Amino acid sequence: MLPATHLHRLARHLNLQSSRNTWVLRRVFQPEATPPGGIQKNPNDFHDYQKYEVVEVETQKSAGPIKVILLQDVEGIGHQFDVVSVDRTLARKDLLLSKKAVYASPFDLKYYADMKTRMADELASRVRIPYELKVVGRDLQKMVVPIKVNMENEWTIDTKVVKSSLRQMGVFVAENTIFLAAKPISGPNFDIEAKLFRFYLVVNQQYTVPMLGRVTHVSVDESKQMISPTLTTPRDEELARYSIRKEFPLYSKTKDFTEDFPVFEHMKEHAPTTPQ
Amino acid sequence: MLSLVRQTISTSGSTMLRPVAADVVQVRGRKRALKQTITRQQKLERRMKREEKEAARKQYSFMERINIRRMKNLLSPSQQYPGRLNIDDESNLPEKPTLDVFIKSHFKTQYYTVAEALDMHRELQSPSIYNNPNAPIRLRLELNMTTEKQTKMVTGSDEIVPVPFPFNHNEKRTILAFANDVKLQELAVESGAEMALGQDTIKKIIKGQFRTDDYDFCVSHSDMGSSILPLRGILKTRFPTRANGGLGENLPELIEKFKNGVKLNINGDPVYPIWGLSDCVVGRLSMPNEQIEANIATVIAAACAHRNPALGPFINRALLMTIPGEENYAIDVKPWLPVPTEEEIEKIEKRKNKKKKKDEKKTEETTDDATPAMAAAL
Repeated sequence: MLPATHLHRLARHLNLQSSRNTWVLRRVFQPEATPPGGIQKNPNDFHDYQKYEVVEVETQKSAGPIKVILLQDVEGIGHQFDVVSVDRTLARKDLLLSKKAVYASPFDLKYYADMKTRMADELASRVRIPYELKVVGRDLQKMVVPIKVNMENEWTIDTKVVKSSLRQMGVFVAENTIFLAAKPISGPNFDIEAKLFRFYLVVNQQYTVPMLGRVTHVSVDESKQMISPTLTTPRDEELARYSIRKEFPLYSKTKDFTEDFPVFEHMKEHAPTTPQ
Repeated sequence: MLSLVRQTISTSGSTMLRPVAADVVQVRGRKRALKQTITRQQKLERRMKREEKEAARKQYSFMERINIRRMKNLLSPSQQYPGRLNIDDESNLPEKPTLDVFIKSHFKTQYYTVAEALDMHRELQSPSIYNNPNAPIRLRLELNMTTEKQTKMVTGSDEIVPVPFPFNHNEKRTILAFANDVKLQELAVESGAEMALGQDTIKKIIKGQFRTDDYDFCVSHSDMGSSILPLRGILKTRFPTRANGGLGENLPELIEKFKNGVKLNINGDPVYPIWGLSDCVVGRLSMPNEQIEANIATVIAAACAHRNPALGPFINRALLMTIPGEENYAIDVKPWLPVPTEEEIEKIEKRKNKKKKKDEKKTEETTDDATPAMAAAL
């Protein structure tokens, strides 16, 4: 089986229909200007004057992005009725075909602008989570963070411990974005090894992401290592065993979730239990 | 042969034009070709080709070739954790995080100051987590090993760099001392040298009766300055000079300096020769930030002396790690990199331009050759 690109090229070769191209050419040797009063020489008399070099081939230039009007919110591209310039292939293969967008023709521009003004109230009332928050939230939710605590020394899980454990997972946070339950977890206590617990990360004081931590006892001494199960996505029964409810991120339009906001109480009441 | 042909002809006269006869003609033709004189140009070309082949065969010994093949299947040391930074891989990622929570892999490598990196390490090594507040700090340097010559790479080396703020590294350092005076030799051994040698042993070293491989570094009293010169080729980077501080009057001080120094070894990557690695311990977490920073600066300066700064940065990325620990933070080493003078840069650029011209000529020739062939094929 030939790859698609080869097939495409072959088809183009077989296509006997003439195609139009624009080539911009330039003379390699410029003929001298005819002196005033003199007779103009035929430029074809001299071979060098028939040599041309290619400046550009218009058909080989990429046509660039295309302007479309979105008919609905598209993640990573824009909101409804936004006029955006997107990649041509994406527009043709996805947006236009599935009627997520239309070409930004003069008529449609006016038509959808009118519709936008008519629907202004409804659009304003809609809750739209910024794309970058959604992306971070999605990746954070996939994680179960092993919260590393010492085997021998006394410890209590605080924001500092959680922060360094998150850093080991590649998540860099400010300390005031972590919210822990009021009841502290402390040890060393091997009964709670590998126990799951809930904490929250607040992104930009707007987007509360429920997170799962797993108590993991560690030691510098390699002979004293604990090997606890590192299940990445705990099942619902497992969550229920630790009395953790399945939750999804909560978004607020204004920057409500400041450092002293009671995030835990708020999430208990308002956290969405279905993905948004 | 000819008689055989004649026989075949006589036995069956009509088969003269059969392939048997043709074969004979071919043999004669080839023989004639052997006698044909070849031009000097052709001779030269043949010799060049033969020499090229031989050089390729001689470059590595049999065992080396087998080792290289084996290593190519393994992951190169530079690619093993934490890997090597490739700027092209992250070219389409955004530069700086905009949110207060960010995931490392979504952005370009973030460079931290030494103080920031150390603070993050200290948090992780605090009593409630790893409880190793006095952990040794490891500096991992990813190197670019290319030199002015395309076929030559920076040679690997082993040296001890005296640092401004010595620390307890728990490593055994064997130091060889050279001194003419017997009293000085005794003094050197007392102050920590593994062995002190005089004039008579130098010949033994040259002959190979006394091996110096096991010694990490050599120091020398200045009265031996001229007599140890023949050892330069044997000791290589360990050879004591005024420049590296191994040659001086005060032996105990010298020995102390090198005993507490940082062991810096530069290794080329066996799989990708243009890459290199250097691992060294530059301090302990309990030391103040400024001291560690000063140590790092001296180590980096010593490492960068191995390559012409005009060729571009020697250090691809510098990571600060602890022992043990997988946590690593890239640190910004730009302020410590040597700045090339304009003359050096010009020199390198001239070289490059020359090469380019040569390449252009070559490509032109090849295209000229190719076009008639293409035309013939069509």
